[in-house]
Amino acid sequence: MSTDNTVAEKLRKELNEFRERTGRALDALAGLRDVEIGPTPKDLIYSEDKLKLYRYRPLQDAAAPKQSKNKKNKADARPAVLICYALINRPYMLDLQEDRSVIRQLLKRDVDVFLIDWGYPDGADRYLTFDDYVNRYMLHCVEQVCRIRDIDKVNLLGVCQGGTLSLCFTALHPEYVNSLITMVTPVDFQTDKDTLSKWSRALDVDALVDTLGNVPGELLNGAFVGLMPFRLTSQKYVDLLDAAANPAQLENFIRMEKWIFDSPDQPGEMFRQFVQWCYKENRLKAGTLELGGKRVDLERIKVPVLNVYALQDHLVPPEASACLAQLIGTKDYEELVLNSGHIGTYVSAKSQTEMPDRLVGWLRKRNR
Amino acid sequence: MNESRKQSDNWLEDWLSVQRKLAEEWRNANEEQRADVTRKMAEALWQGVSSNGSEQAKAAARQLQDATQALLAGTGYFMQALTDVPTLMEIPHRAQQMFKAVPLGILREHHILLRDLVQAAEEHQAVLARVANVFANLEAQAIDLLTQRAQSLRATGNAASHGRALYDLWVECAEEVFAKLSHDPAFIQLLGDSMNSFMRLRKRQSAVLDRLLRQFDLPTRAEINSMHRKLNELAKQVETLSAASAKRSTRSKKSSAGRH
Repeated sequence: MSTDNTVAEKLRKELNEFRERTGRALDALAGLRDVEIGPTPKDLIYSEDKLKLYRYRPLQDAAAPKQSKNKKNKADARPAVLICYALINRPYMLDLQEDRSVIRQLLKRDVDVFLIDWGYPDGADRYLTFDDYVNRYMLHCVEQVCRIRDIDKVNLLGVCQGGTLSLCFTALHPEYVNSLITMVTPVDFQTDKDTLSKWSRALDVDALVDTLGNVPGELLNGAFVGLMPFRLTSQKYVDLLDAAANPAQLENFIRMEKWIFDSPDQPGEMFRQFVQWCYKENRLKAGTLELGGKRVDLERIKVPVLNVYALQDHLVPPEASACLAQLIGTKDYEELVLNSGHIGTYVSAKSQTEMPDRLVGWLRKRNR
Repeated sequence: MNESRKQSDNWLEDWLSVQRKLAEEWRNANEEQRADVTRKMAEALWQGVSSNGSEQAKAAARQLQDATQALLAGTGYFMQALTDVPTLMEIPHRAQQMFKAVPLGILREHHILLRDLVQAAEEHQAVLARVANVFANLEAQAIDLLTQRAQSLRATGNAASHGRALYDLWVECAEEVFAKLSHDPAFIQLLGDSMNSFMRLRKRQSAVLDRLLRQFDLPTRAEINSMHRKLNELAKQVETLSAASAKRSTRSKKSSAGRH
């Protein structure tokens, strides 16, 4: 009986503390100013429809005036890296905050960084296709980078779905690519642990797209959160009560929260094709994917490839990325395997040190 | 005059009170009893109307009474919908019963749209009920697993010492149960069914909305989609033509440079 009383008393005390912490957390949240996202300065160098192509300013020139678009710097020996992010979620995850920015780390290591920002598609983009994204938008961006840097080829860095697009681009336009880095990129869309892939099997994607047009970002948010519903709708916010005591930690949480739920709508046709051809039919791995009338043959990829993937990734299981080794034609293939989750790949402590060191070291050896 | 007006006012109130009593009877009656109630309602309706009238009026009222009785009996669900206050869950089913009649007349197309909408809503609700069932089972399994874990932790001397630890353990158990469920083919099919039935419902909603917009000469989504499709095709044609023209121009520059 006395033990029960002790336990009951303990729980009561804990509940009171919980209530107090909740109150303090709510006060802290109410007093929070707008959080800054993507702090590293960049310049818009090209735009087409909703797409924007940015070039990041070198860190030492962060306060310098905009570089001329027509400036041809023949002496510029920095490796030019064009980052192709996914259509899902926003690319500022790579530049979330000053101490969590893969882009900043690349700039510190003297890389010339370009980024494709796909923007926020609306009804006018409803009929954009897989072909449009790879053979039109990406091609135009690559051409712009080559023109600005007076080079023939770029180093392509594809993240997640952006990596899939980059693989397709490299297979179809190898003449434009010097090297390819894929980060947490799905290649085999039907591995056993791929929950999203299994969930898509019973989905009538034609009905979805024909009814909704563009697929709302909120729908995808629901699917992602639904992968771990108790952690992501409940425990995460209970953890917030601990973070709320530290203003910097609270801001970090809010930044991440903004990124997680800042999901653009997906252009209808692109979504239909991606889900049907990749998730349902696994065409990329099977070698039967065709874009613009041409087969995407991963065997044609002969450029150096660095494949970065994460062992705890629940969105893109490691097996989904690792199979790339057996599919591409290059003899210069390396892997960088991280013991992190999908997002941890770009925001964990290692992503600010070990990973950029390895990435840039690899790039420099192959920069022509 | 005042007297006759008073009489007529009384009559109206009496008539309304009879209608209210009959509506109450209807609500409390079973299926068999309702046939009797409809007869009484029809009687009360036309008797009230003809009580002060001529013999001809009374005869006409009797004919209308028979017709009304048939109408009320044959469309019993209409009475049910009018007299009962349906719960939110019952509305689609009740509405569906109303729309079971064959669509006729000038509102035929609207009737079909609404009928399909109501049917889709009912189907979607049925799927959601199955989903709710699955999650209720999941909760129960998670609590079972939590109990087992808590007991085995206690047995090894590592009992959860505070509420937060118990909460974290509950989340861990719930996620474990869910992780297994999320790969179960039946659950995957159910998720697909819920999304697919929701899309069918949305499609019906859009059809109703489109029809309304057309009546006000406002652009519909279908029209805007047509425009965007056309624009997309034109953009591609322009791109192809520009590329071909640029190629021709490069070739002719090269060949004229070669000549010189």
